[in-house]
Amino acid sequence: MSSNMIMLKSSDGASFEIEEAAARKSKIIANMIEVECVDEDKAIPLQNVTGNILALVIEYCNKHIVDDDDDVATEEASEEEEEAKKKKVDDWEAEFMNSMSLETMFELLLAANYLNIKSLIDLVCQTIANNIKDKTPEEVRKIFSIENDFTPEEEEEIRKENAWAFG
Amino acid sequence: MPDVILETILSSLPTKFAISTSILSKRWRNLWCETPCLNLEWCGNKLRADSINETQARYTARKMMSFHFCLSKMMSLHFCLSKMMSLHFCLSRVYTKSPYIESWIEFAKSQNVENMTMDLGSIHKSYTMPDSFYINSSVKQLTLYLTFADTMIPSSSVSWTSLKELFLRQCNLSERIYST
Repeated sequence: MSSNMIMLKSSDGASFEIEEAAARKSKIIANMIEVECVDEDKAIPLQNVTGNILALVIEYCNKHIVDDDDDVATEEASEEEEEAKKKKVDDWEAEFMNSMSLETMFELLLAANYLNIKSLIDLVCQTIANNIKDKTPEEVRKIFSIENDFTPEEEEEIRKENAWAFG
Repeated sequence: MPDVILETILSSLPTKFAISTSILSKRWRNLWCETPCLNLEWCGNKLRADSINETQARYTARKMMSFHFCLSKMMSLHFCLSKMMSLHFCLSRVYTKSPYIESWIEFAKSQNVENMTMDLGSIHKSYTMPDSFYINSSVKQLTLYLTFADTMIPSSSVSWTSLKELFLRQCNLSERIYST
């Protein structure tokens, strides 16, 4: 297996070395590699991602590149093995997400969106959804820093439209 | 946070919760209408047939607006709805209101739903599936939870041209239906 290394540079100037195969999890970086605008000696600058978030993104990509390789190598793996492997990834993802605050999750989500890493976007969205599903509207506003720009009358009107959902 | 990301978050939530985010702010007002998944499974006791219908009307209405005012938005919506939408609904509380079931089946067909789960719970035995249920060219995966039995036998022919997987749960079917 080729293990070309690529350098990534965060917005605050931190440099990270990452295997090309892992970096290709990001469609943006994969595209850059395709059109050969990646200079081996030069780091790819990522203006919108800070070092601490980029470290998380790289941790995720490294973990999942191993999984993708496994898929190819063990095509004939038994169902139990498949399930055990899936559980291992699920457990890893749960622990990975558990280790961060909601604030970090939002930053990670923006980074995943910017870098276009679909599976990471889905993972973070699902985790945020689990986090907010029992929250009151006021709590959700706080989490997403939403300013309520409705008048009490307008709010009442919307509640009436789908009254069952506000029970 | 871009709208499309917020919609992804809302897609992972029960539709009841997604709708309740419409009072957060003007930006959030119609976000739930654009989520590619409706999940009406855990909607609590307050969900009644007529309120489902109101919700369905709003969901559809939003789409029509997009159709008239913004073509590119409509295109992406069309993609979402035809390719990814899954519809999961549980209607055990509306057992006396069979027209609503027909209306949802029609709704699902109009949206080209590919993944459909119908849980009709302890619906009355005399309920007969509408003929329209048996003609569907878009559904690929169909899961049925039905406690009623031979009323499943359609009076007309069955045409599920895209169907790949059919799951029957809690269905009491006589041998007669398998030969149909």
